Amino acid sequence: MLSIDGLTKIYSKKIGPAIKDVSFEVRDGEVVGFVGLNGAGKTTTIRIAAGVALPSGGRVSIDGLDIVRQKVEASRRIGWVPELPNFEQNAKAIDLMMYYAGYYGIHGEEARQASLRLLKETGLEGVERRKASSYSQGMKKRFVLAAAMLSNPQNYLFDEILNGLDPEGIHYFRNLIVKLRQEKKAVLLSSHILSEVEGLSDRVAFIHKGRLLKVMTRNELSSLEGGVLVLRLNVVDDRLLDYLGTLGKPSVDNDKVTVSGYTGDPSAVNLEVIRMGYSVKEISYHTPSLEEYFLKLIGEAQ
Amino acid sequence: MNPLLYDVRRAFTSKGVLAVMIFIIVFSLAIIPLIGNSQVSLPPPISQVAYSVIDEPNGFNILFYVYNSFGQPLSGVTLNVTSSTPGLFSQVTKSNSSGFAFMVIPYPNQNTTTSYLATLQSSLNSNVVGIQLLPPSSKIGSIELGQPEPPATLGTVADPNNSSRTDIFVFAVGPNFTKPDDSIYYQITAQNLPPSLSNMTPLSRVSNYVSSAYITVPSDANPADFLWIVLATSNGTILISEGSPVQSYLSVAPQLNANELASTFFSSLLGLFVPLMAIIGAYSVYGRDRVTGILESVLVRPVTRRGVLVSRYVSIVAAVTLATVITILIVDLIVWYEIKEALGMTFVLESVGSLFVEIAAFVGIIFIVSQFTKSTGALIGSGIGLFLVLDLLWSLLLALAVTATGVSFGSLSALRLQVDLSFVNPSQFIGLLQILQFRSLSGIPIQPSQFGITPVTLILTGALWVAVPVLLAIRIVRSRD
Repeated sequence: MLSIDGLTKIYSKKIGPAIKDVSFEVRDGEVVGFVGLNGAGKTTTIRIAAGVALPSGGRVSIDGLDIVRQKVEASRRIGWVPELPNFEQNAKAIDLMMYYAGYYGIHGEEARQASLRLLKETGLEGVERRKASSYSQGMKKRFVLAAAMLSNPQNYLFDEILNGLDPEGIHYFRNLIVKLRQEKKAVLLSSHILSEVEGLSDRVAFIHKGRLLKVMTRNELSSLEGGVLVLRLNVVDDRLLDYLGTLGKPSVDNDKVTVSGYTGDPSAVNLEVIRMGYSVKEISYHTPSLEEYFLKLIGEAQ
Repeated sequence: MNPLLYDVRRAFTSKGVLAVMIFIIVFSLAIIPLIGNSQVSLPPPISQVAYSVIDEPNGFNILFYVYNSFGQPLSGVTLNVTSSTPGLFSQVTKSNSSGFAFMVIPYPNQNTTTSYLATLQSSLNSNVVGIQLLPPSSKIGSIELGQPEPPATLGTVADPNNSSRTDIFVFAVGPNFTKPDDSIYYQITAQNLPPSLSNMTPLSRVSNYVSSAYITVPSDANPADFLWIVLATSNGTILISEGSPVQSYLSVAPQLNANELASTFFSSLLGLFVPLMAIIGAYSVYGRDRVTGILESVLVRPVTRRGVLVSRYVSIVAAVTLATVITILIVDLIVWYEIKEALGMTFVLESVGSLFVEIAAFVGIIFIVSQFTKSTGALIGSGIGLFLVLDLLWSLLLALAVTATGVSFGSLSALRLQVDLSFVNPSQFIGLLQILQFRSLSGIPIQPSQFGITPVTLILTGALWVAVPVLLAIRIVRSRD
């Protein structure tokens, strides 16, 4: 479990905090989407959680271990895949893997076997002796993932991992995330493309300009503040509007009535209106996407 | 693989480190054969003593004056006077702040024949000078009380205001230890006999116990001619006269053999380029990784920021030291092949030790700079700047500093400034060791302890250079991303 509590990061006092008082948690067996626009503070939050950046305030605990004060033990329980993997330029993948393995106390033949196995699992079999810096973007992410899995950590931090991947790569990582959830791992998945996290996340944390706006479950997301119901009728009168007023907020444009904020079943409305004696020429229902909801949240925040 | 060993291998095999290693070896291959049997001057010894004895009823009253290569007083130098006859006389004294020491030796029995040996032992170095006193038995019966003997000591010292020049040094004592009232004369002549006083050129008056004067030797003087110096009283009585070839006045130094020359040359070469190797190693294995974010791929592992820094620091220092040792051994082979004599083990060990200090200091400094630079370009620029300022152009900058302070080149003040600045520059550490070793600075004889260069201060300085930069880097890294 990964717990972020009151996290604040100030790079420069002149430009204000990059993130401020960010708090949420990622439970075991849960995938939490971490969404926000570019520069919202997602990467900063994840880098602090990964132990590669220091917080200015607040704390991150990994399975109860403080990432700053108990760095060594906490880091054993973390796997981090950054958006742009960066590693030693001239090293072969297998050598780098064995070097990283040394930090987990895995040495010699054991390290070699573990490295080869993980490189194979991540689809890098046959290219182990190539310089990792010569890998494609997708291969680099797979390599970093393999390195992250050296200690079979309980917690994963994925920062924009689907960015820049080909369809096969996206498919691989999507399946991986599902698999990790099944294995009861805690996964924090950041993205600025909301549709990427929509179908994968159990909860979504929205961040904007360094501040956490909201954390919502998948159920809450599916029953957002209602959709928009549009009807075209032969007659629009007060009796009809009184009824539609009980469902949401109706507005009239000639023979078209738009009811916003409706959260029920559109077919039930259709049946009721016909039963009331009206002729329905057209009925449509549209729910806002996560993206629209996020934009709405941003608008409210501003 | 053990991360420490991996980093050692990485630092050792970095192109920059290998390139500097190869450069030093190739350069040595080209230069050492030229050294061959060549010889260069080495400055004369550093601690000297002059004395004058006055017979008094209570015994021989001896006034010693202990001085350095500039003729300046040396305080705290131990003088141990013992008789050749066991148990007859033994006394120890120390020179005071003016370089003087006084001692009374009771007369021995009339029928005792003995001599006295004064041993000069500087407290901070091992320079020892033996002084033979005249046997008192030869003087008993003809004692002329109150008259100094010898009335004066003539010698040569480096000019304190321009140490490339040689001065005539005079230690003179008047009757009953009064200040002298004499004059010094000189003459350059082909004769191996002292000229008459009337033909000599007055140089200066001698009215203090210690004085010195510079003689301008004409450029057309025959080096084989004799330079005669005479000290005479105001009434024209010659007290002492000494003659020596002009050449020996201009260059009185003993010779440095080829092996010592190779050692000196090689120390300078290593002192110049090993810091560069350290800078490149620190940049390649730590600085670049930190600035470009590569280090984060390690920081995410179960290791603290301090752990990563210390691990890389140890790796780089070990790798560059190893590269230096290998380079020294290869060059030693070249020296052995060319002059049939290997570099001394003491030289090798001292070089490795002092270069280790330089390596550790420069690696630590680059680690500190890495915490504040945001790009590889800025870091490379800083590294090159450090190399230029602290190492390659140091002598030039030193000359500018001397000019700026208005001190004469070669003067004692200039030398002191050079030494003081060397203490605050890690690349000059091997230079400080050389000063201690050869008791010479820029070819000028000095007493290292007078400049604060002693084994103790060097060990302390070395320890500080090894510890302070890395401890500072550790402190910074704990609070910075």
